[in-house]
Parts: sequence; structure tokens; C-alpha cells
Amino acid sequence: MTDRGPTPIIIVSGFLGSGKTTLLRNLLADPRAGEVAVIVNEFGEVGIDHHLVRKTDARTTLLRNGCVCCSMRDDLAEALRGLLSQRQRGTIPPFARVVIETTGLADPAPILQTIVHDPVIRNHYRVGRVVATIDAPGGMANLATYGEALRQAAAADHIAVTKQDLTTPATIAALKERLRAINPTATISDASFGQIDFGALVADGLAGAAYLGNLGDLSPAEIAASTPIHAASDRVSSRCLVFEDPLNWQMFGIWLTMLLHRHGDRVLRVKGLLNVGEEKGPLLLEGVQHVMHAPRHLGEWPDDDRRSRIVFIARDLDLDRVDASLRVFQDVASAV
Amino acid sequence: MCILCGALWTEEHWAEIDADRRDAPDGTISFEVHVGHRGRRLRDRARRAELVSAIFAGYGLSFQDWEGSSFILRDAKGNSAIAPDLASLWAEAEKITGAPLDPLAPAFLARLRPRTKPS
Repeated sequence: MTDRGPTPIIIVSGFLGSGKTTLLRNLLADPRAGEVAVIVNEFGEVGIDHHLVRKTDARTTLLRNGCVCCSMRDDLAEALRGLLSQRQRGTIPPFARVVIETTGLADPAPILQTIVHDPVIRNHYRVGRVVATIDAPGGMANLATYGEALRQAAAADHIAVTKQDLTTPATIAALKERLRAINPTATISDASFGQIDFGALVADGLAGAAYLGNLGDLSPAEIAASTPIHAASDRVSSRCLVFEDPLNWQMFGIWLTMLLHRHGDRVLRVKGLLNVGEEKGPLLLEGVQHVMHAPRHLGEWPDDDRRSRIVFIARDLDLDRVDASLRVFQDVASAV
Repeated sequence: MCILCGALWTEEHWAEIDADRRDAPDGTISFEVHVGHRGRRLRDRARRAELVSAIFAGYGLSFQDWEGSSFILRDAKGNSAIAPDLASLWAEAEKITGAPLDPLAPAFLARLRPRTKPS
């Protein structure tokens, strides 16, 4: 068990009543999920959800008393460490992945931060996929009203649109269009009674890399047009920045840390394939708000296009200025 | 751990991971690898300090790497501060300059543009 590398973690987020637990139950029942340990976090005084998740009793941990995103971060770290230690001692059945079901009000960024920054956890676990559920009847209103719902959708690698039988096809289509505009890097699927393509969720590989690879077929103008800035009232915008020449990685790090220091709470998502002037594959960069994952090298480029492509999803931030700023910093690097 | 000041650094900041490092598929880096790549790491940090200094030359700030463990920043009045990595550098720089540093601010970029040409 110990030689299998870091254990992947699937984070299931989604607004209150959007079908997280139903999706989780189905995931646990799916043979492709394998042996799973579950961490359930609930906001209410009395934990109910963990009674609904029956398959992995010994490996289900309930975080009580509140929200995993704020007060319970230490508890999450403790729960993940506890699972490791119990697996090692053989007091619970072995597991090959962990699923964290967050509360409906959780912002995924602090959860990711716990996994990425805790010295024990980041050496034994890795973030596999971030899944968000959004219910078709109420999704549009939740996105407009609650910052939490918006952040969950922006941070996700995969969005499952649930409860489609309760509304009209037109509402579903409008919601999907809105989700694609908020988070063009996420895959969106239809979930009927909690069933989605679990194979894609548990597959190895890098979420979103395929999307970024697909951008290779488009010209920069087409890419910009495919992810337009939204109306000002919308406040959330997304944009794919494209760079023809290889980027100076050191200056890129300087620029992005400075940007996140000042505007981290407005940058909902960063995802990119960077050409840093090497012969081999690109660097995959991923971040949610101020939390950046350690960049990873892909063995090879997904296609013949060698341009750097970076998708930014931001709230109340002018992405034209982000683009211009990065170009100036890069120009300074070539002059020094 | 820094044996002089006792500070314990348990992680490498994401922006300081070598772009060409492929030690583990998930990007994790062990302490042994740190030591093994010490020379390269020091060169990288020195280059980063040089690039940050270029960005802030117009503000009278200079940056220097100290033994691969800290960045030291100084202004022309003799003020100085220490930060372990890039992410914590900006808060220290703001304390010294006394103003928020915004890479998107038009005034900031306008001061930077002349530096985009080789001198």
C-alpha cells in the first residue's frame, strides 16, 4: 500500500441541497472507485450525512461542529493524518483514495491549502479532482446570490448538474452556458439521480490539461473570443492569456506571487500550460485563489502547439490589465 | 532549518521549484533533493533576487538572496527586512515602501516600461 505514491483525494463540493451526498453514495457504489475512505463535514449540530454513507463505515470520519473551510482546517489535517496512521497500522481496511464531502457553504480554497501546505499531508496525498454539484432548478439563483456557490463552481475540475428532472431543458441549457462562462476549464456533466461518469473522476492524469490542449487548435483571437469578459454587473470574468514566446519561469513566479499577494481573493482560478523554454513538455500550473499547487511537468505537449496558455477566472478584476502586466514583467526579464 | 536563527522551513514555495525539475510525478521534493541541488538552487535564488531588484529599481529597493534561505531587502535609507520566500516578500516590501504594491496599477507599470529595453 505504501509504495503506490500519494493517495489521490477527490473533493466534492456544492451548495446546500445540490446533491453532494447522493453523488457520493453513487460514487462509493461504483466499482471503479475502488477502496475509498470518506471524510464528511457537516455544518449542522447533528451529523446526518455520514449515516447515509454506509459502505465504508470504518473509514468514514465525521468532522463535527462546523465548516471545514474555516474553523475546522486543523481537524481536516488531523483526519487525513489519522487515516494514514490507521491504514499503516492495519486498524482500518486499506484504501486507495479519499473523498472529502464538504459542507454546502465551504470555500474549496482553504481545503486545498491544507492539503498542499501541511508537511505530512502533502507528501502522502495529492488533490485528484475537485467536483462541484450544482442543482439545475436553483443553480442560477445560487450563483447570482451566494459567493460560496460561485467559488465552488470556479474552483472545480468537474461540475455535475443535478436534479435535471425538476426543471426545463431551457433552464438547464442556460445554467450550463453560465457555468462554461464562469469556468471554461471544467468539464460539465449531467447527473441524473447522482450518476455521472465516475470513470473520469477516478482516472489518473491531470484534470484540465485536455482542455488547455484543445485550445491549441484556436488562434489567440479565437481563444480570447471563446472566453469573453462578461458584463460588468456579472463581476466574474474569464480569459485565456496566450504567449507566443517561451516565458521566463522565474519572472513568472515573481509576477504571480505579487499578483496573488494583492489580488488573491479576486483570482478564483488559475490554470495553465506554460512553455518555459524547454525541449520537453510544458509546465502545468494550477491554483485556486491564493493557493497554488506545486507546478508539475507534463512528459510531453498535448499537441504541436508550443504556446503558453493560461486561463484566469477572476472576480472584480480587469483581465486586460492582468495580461498587460504579465507582458511587461516578462519584457523586463528579457532585458535584465 | 536555519542553524543561526532557528527558523524552520518545511516546504519550498511553489514559485521556487525549478521549472526543469522532475523528481516526482506529483512535484513533491524531498529534503535530500534540496541538498543535492544546492548549487542550482542558490543560482536560481540569486537570479530571482536580481529580477526583483530590476522590478523595484525605481523605488530604491534592492533584493539579495541570503544563503538560499532568505531574501534580504533594503532601501536607500538603510531600512532592511528579511523574508523566507517570494510570497512573504511582498508584505515586507510594502512595510518598507509604506504603500501597497500592485502589479496591475498603471503607475507601477508605467515606471516599469522603460526597463523592458536592454540598457
